[in-house]
Amino acid sequence: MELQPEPSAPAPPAPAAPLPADFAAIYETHSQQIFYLALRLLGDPTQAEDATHDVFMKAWRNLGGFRGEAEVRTWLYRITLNHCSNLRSSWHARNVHTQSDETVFETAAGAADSPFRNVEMSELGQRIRTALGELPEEYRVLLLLVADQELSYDEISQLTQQSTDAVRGKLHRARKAFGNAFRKSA
Amino acid sequence: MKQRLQQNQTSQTGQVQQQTGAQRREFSEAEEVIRADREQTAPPGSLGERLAESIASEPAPPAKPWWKRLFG
Repeated sequence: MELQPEPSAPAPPAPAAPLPADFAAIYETHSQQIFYLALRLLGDPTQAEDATHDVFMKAWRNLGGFRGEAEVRTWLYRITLNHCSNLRSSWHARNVHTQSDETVFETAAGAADSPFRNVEMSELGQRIRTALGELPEEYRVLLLLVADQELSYDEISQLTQQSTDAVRGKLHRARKAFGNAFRKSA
Repeated sequence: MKQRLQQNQTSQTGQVQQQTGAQRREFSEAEEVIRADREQTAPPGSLGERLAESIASEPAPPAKPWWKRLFG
């Protein structure tokens, strides 16, 4: 007598298809940076997850037009910045009051003491989110890009479509603004 | 019994404070703070799987046009 499988036994779930090997390597190497950039630009983990998914899908669809390994990161950053900018441009205009007066940051008190002393690590994400949220978008983007030590000033200037001198000047102000906003977030 | 419970609570609180105290850091600049935050922020584990499923349901990426294959 042959044993028949029980008809009511559920079929095992189909294994998820793995990413194609080359693309899996790209994802492994860059997904954390891309997710983080999206998270800090959009301010919401669910939106950042969706954005990261969409960025890598765009990359997959355009892989044939990609020119070489050295530019992968810059290429992915460009897609991310465009994608997040599109998402924000519709949402931001409706929901967010932008603090346009930079002098608030320039003249804020407490410049003598470093705002980055004795930082509680469990609060770091929330404080950074708050501090970046106080900055103009351009400053936020520049700080997030320059935090990636693998990006040169030239690459940042290309990504943000301005001269390297302009990047340096704005970064100086962005750092100061971020420091003041970070201090206030404690 | 009550005293023991209070003792336990006190020691637990002490551990939390100790752990919290050990997690304080000093940074020299804005970029360093952001990098530290990025290092402790990983994308959700399910994202790679979701991406793989999306890619599996996509047609293969278009091959290079014939003139690019010939002339690079």
